[in-house]
Amino acid sequence: MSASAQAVTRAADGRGVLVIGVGGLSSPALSVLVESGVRRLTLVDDDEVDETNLQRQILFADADVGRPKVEAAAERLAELAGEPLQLELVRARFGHDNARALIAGHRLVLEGADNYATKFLAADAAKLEGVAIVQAGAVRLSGWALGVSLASGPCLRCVFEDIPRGQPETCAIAGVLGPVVGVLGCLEAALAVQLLLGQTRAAGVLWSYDASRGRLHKRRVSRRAECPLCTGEISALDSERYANHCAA
Amino acid sequence: MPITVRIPTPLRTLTGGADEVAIDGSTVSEVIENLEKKHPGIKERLCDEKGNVRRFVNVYANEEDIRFLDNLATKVKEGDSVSIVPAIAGG
Repeated sequence: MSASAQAVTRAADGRGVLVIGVGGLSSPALSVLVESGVRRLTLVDDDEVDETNLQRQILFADADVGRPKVEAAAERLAELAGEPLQLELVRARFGHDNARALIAGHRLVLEGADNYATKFLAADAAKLEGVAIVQAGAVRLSGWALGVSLASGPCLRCVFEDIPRGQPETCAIAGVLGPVVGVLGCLEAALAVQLLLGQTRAAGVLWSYDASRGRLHKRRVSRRAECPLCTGEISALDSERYANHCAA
Repeated sequence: MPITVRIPTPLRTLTGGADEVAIDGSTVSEVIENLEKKHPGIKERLCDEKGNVRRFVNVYANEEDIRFLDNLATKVKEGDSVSIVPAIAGG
């Protein structure tokens, strides 16, 4: 293992990295994290591999269809690492009732959920547990990524404020170009490694990717004075805040 | 040179596929109103029934988040850019 990978291994101590959702974003992200030296991971997903996942969820192959995603992913990651990994596999939904317990003790959260409610729940729970988080979203030909370090402030709610109501687009409904989640998942991994190594300047930057124009754009974002999460107004995970929206 | 409005992918069906649109206006509010005149239906995607920018949509004037400026009253001038960045949930 290279010296840089050893540094990442040491940085991801304790329970390591918690990964919420093992899908399009997390597949490339996990591959890169493991190759970068992360050896302790908790994978959370209640879903099974579906044939429609294979075009973008690169951890899985035809033979995995029908298997729990966390199990199939664990096997593939162990192959990539070429050595034993310390993996906790949680075949369950990430919800308001288990979010804080799942996050506690980890060095960082990598969020790869496919719905707004889980993204905001992850943001809230990570803040309440005092754990850094990297988040992203993608649909069709575009997406975004954001690293959040408690030291540098702006969180998801500083940027996108709250869960949109109505019928939001998801990959299942609108589709997503496989390489788009590939780019954003790898970007999540890059942000995660930087934050694990204490490079807090990687946080607080909103990355926007537009595959149709071949553009990756970054903007430094600021903490909003009215942000209910950063001000402490959100002090608990009220189920009503995420009710009927969390899918994974 | 009018203001360049950068249109995110999810809204390009309303602009005929254009990722950038030239719009006149002296404030972000005027730009959105003129954008709506040119591409009907887009304002509803950006603003709620009270006319405020939707909470999950970010608007930047010259790369500055308008929530840290004067919101919709933020002044813009010829040659400026207005970028729209909506939240996206898929993963």
